Amino acid sequence: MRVLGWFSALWRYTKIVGETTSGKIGIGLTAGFFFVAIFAPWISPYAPTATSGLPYLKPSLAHILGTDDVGEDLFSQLIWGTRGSLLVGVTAAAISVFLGVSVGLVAGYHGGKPGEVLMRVTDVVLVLPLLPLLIVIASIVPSSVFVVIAVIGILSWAPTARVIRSQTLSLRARPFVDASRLSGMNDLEIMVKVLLPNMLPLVVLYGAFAAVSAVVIESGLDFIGLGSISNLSWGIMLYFALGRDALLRGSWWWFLPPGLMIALLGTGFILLGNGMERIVRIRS
Amino acid sequence: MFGKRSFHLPSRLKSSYLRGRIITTIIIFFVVYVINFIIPHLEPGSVLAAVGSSNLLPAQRTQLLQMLGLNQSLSQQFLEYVRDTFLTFPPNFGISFAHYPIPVWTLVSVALPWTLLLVGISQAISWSLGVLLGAWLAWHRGSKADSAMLGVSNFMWGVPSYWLATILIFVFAIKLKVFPPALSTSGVLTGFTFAQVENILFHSFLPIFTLVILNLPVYALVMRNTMVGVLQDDFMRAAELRGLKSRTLMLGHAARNALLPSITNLALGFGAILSGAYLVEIIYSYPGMGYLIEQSALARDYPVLEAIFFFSAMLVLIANFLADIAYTLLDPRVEY
Repeated sequence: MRVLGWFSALWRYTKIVGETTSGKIGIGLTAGFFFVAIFAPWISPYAPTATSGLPYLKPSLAHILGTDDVGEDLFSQLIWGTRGSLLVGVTAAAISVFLGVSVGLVAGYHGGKPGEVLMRVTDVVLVLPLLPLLIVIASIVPSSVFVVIAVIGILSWAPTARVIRSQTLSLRARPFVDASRLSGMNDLEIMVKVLLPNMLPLVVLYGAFAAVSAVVIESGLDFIGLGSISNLSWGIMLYFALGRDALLRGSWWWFLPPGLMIALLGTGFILLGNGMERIVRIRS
Repeated sequence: MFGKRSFHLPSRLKSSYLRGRIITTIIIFFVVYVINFIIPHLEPGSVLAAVGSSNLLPAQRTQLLQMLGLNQSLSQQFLEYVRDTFLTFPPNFGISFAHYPIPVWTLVSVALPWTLLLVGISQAISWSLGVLLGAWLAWHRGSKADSAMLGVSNFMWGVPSYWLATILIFVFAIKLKVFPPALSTSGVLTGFTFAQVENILFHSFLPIFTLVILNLPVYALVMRNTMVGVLQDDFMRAAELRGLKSRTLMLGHAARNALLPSITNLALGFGAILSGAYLVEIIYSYPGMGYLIEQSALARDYPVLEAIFFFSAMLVLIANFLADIAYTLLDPRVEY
């Protein structure tokens, strides 16, 4: 029931975001990437890892972005890569937002010693450099996309926790929180049913930040050669493009599109998040 | 530049704030330090696998365990680890697997100055230009330039640094041939001599340029947004009514007050900045920490990777601490 309520609230917020041009672009890009990721098998002209032509073909009607060194269709890889990159971004962001919101709510609502301790932990997590740590872990643990997702999620919640905490601190003092308490709600109910819905736009904004950084970091790990090749993502495409001399051959159609997709996905998420943040600013 | 306002901060307050930050910094240092010890112990089996010991004889395996100190109890190993870092100079971070028997410290201490040079110059340029640009955009908010820059910053957020570096190499080194594509090709690695400074800068131009393009828009955006908020403050209207010149208004009053979040942004984003710089180094074969990461990652040379994580965390920690000091100096209102 409550989840349904959140979705209807999110839907309402999304409609408000769509009132501005930049909001429209953000929603359009995000929805477009989700569409491509979900319907990849139907959109892509070839299987991404099947030899479908001669190696190193230039862009043509049959192969819109040409083929790679073993004759696989690059356009199909780009479409399937959407799935791989979006999987990393969305899952890592979900973990990160869940942890950040929980820590922020508890630290802000209860305060005192436990809150103090939680914020100290947040300070520590905030300064851990994610990519170097991920590289150490990936060099020791056998590489799997789920390890990468879990590590990014577990280490990137700190900014969310900070913002949610300060929002909780300011919302806690409002009359409607007292009213909810008098009506017999317990602390957990107040946090989840009263405070959280009011912070949903901020949650989306910080979720967007986390998703963008997760996609970029995962692609960096791929680029170094520590990514998991079984999860075809834009980063893996770039890794192969640069490792197989796309640059020296001048095949810009090979190394340009994957990075552009990462940047556009980032733009979509950020514009959507900024639109949500505008709602918070207008309301307060 | 920001006027002759004096800083009215009671020294007692300032020092207690700083003391709190120092304590936090020390706590964080030890957490990082312990993480650095724990990670390799998460899976001791794969440490051996990483050295390629799967076809070792039992006796060789025992010898290797002894050499790596893995046959001791965990507490003994930790004591050893503490002694290696604090009671020896240079601190002992172990021996590199790939460059055996070169100590990790030697490899890192050669690479670190190069990274500091790259990050230092690129961030100094992008931060100062970004802040100025942001202030200018806030002053001219709503203009065409403002919305164009807004679009650029939103786009830059998700641009992978190494991809941007690839494109710049493609354009400037391969198509236009104005800059060398990589640093190591011209053999400038012999050290810092005066005659080589020019050569080094010429070869570092593209890596620095890449990072400036990447980071400047973000600094500009943060500065612009904060300053738009400051411009709507009452004290700005008061200053305007006092008839101050618009340059004094913009730089002396608004920009000064909007600077703080951009400093926080610089410090908190420092981990991401470093990661971006590492990846750029790899593309340009720039001999810093990133280049070391690439070589070590391929060889699964985890002592080196661990040391790089440790030093990266230290750099972020130092950046945050410096930002705290800058905060107490810049903002007379700091009260914690």
